[in-house]
Amino acid sequence: MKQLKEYTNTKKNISFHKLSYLYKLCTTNNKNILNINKHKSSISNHQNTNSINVNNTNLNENSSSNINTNINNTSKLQAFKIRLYWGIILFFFSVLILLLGHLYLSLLVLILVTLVYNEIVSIKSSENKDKKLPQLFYIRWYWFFLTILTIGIPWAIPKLQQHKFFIFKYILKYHSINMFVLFIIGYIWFILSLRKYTLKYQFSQMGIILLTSLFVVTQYLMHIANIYSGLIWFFIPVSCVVINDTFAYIVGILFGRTKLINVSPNKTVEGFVGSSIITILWGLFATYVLQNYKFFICPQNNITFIPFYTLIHTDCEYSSIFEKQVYKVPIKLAVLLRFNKIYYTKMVIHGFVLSLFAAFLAPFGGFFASGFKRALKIKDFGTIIPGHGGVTDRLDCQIFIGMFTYIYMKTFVKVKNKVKYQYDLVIDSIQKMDSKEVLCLFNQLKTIIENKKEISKVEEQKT
Amino acid sequence: MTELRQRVAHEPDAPPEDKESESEAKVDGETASDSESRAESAPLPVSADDTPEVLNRALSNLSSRWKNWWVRGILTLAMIAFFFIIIYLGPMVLMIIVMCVQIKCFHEIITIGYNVYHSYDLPWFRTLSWYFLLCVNYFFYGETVTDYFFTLVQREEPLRILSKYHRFISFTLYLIGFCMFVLSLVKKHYRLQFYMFGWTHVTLLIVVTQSHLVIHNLFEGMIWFIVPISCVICNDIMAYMFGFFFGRTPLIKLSPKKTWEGFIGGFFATVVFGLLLSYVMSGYRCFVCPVEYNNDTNSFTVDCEPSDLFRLQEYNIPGVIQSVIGWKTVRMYPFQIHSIALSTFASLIGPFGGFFASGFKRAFKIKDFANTIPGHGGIMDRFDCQYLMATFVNVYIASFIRGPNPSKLIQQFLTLRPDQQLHIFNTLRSHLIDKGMLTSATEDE
Repeated sequence: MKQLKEYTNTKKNISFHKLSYLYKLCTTNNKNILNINKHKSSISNHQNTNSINVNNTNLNENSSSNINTNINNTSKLQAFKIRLYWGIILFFFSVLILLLGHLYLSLLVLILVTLVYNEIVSIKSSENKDKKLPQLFYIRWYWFFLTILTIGIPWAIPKLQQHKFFIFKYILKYHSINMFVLFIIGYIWFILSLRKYTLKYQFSQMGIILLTSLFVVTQYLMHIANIYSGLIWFFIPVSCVVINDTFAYIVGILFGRTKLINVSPNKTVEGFVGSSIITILWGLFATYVLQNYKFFICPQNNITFIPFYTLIHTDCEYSSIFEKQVYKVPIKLAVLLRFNKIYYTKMVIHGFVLSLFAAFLAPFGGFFASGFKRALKIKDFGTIIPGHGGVTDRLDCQIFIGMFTYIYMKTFVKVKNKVKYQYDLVIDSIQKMDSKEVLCLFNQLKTIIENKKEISKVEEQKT
Repeated sequence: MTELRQRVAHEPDAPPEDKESESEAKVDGETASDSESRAESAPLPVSADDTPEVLNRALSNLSSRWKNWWVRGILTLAMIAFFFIIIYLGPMVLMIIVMCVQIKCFHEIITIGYNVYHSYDLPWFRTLSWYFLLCVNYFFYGETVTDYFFTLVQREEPLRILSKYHRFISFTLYLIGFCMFVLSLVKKHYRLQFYMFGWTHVTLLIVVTQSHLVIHNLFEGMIWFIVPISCVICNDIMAYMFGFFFGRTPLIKLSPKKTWEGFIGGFFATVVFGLLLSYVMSGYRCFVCPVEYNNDTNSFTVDCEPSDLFRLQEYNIPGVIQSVIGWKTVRMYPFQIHSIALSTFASLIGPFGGFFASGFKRAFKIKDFANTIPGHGGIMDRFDCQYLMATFVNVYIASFIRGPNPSKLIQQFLTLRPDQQLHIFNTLRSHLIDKGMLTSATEDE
């Protein structure tokens, strides 16, 4: 009886050890088995190949018993299963958030930004030094919120017009000086918190805080501005980057041979080229399909807290970029292709440009992040996502595309929802001017309008 | 000890005056230990050994302490003269000087980075740092030109295209630099390359943005440039003097030579100095008027009708002070009231820039930022108290003083829809007719 008990106990122990070993494989930082993308399911190429290699080497190092080879096979299968499982969960989660409307998507972006900031800022922080400097924690978050306020307020307040709190007008008018005062408070706080023996550490932390706030937080906040200009301006860039990552990995596995760059030894040229082609095709396809749905293309001028708002109220002006235009194919090609007209809209061209950026320049963000990790000899930015490290690992390729989309929109696409705000701004400014300047302005406006009238008269005469 | 040197004036754009006033302060009350340490610092890389030969021979008789004093004194005078010459030459030269000083400051800080991290031989890195500097400068100068020279830009075709796509072009240039950085990463030097990348960006943030804000201030009127800088300089000198004569209680652990008496005394002295200086300067048109680009003569003019801010007004003195002074009203420029705000900022927050710089130097164990100026340190040593003054003046002007820029307004006007444009135009016309500034007879539409 005793022997039986011992036997069952040892069996339990063995299975327990197996399970705990598997659990460790799945959850430790070093083993990048799982690959979870918060936006859409994506399989990051370099991380996965790294993980398989690391997995194998670790297992070989540990021991060479049967259990380990079995675990190897089962863990690979486990890995794929868990990846697929989490990928599907995240896919549905993101679709839900997308449907909820602009505000909730923006909140998701904000949460992700907070997590990214937290991860990056804690990279170089050392535990024992932080204990001596209790204020450093508050200083970090203070600067984070200051950045968000500085960038967010001038953008958000005009969108809250329907609430008509009169304090909003003053917040907007004195925005720069408010932010400057807060900046000075933060600056003095930092200087007063300098301690004799940790000076270098504090300065380098401050540098990291500043740089992260400036580069990372600002870029991701641009995504929020893009969301409010129309969901398509968020969906297309982000999905292109995700598709680029995924297919770079898949094509790399299938055909990969020549190394791409020293910084990321697991990337291949074939993967890069293949994924670029697929990304561009996806960009064109997605734009072409999605531009027909008002849900995606309507800009929102107000911030509302109602969930599923956009599904209910989809009504907006049809901007000119979505009008159908015709391109007459040259005759020689037409004979080949058997049709002589291609219908396209300007939006498709914009989608094409965005997907070009995602295909060729977004990977540099990934190289930068992996170089950064190698420089600091860390495997991952964080451990929030089990098996795959932190949020930054998933979002590193997206670093410039938010800003690029925003600037591109401002330059090449005239988005009409800005007009109301500009009008109020002009009226406001005129009221601030004194009379002589107003007279001068009036004369200049007169000449401009007279010129326009002449031009329109000439055009009328022509037709 | 290096703090003493920095405590005195700093200007981001008029190096002469700072160095002079600083050396004056040093000359006045430099302690024995300080000057001896400077003389002894010959073996260290940052030494006073690059005094010109002429001076060396002329002063060879004197002991090291007095020699140091004289070197500083001569350089001080040279700098003051240089400053006045530049002011005389006008805003354009001042802008160029700002640019040069900015480049020099950038170079100094980057060199410190190289020394601290022993990374002078990194492949590509020097090129990349200068490239980033160029990008950011291009962006800021483009914004300035587009704002202030709108009509000129609209006239010339290539400029118009450049200004329309300006942000996009700057962003693309920056991205190219970023990609070049990623491509230049070399296996063994990752860590250093990333450190230098971070260092470059922080430097760009601090140095370049400040200098552009200084140029913006300059365009508002030279008085907005001269008065704040002089207030900071004066604060340093006065704080030093008060500290020297009355100083007892130390101010902050970072700078053991600062005292509360110096701080408070400097505050009051600076406010008074600001009032006097602004009174003197407000009378001259060339200081008060904004710099404008004249389309016809294709040059910069500083000539205008002074705005309300610079016209003498009568103010009633409150009863309490009336009994003391015996005047009922005083004629002041409204600008002098603003100068009180500027001086307050200069004396209360300016010194923190000095503390920041001295903490920085201690953290990275350097004595000076560089040894550009014999007898003093580098240019950054002179400018550390001015870190935030330019930003403050700019924000102050934007919030409280400046009416909107008419050319920018016209830009915004042009982006509106035609019916909105007509609406505004008609409202404006009726408003002006009501006020009597326009008679309906002059309207011929």
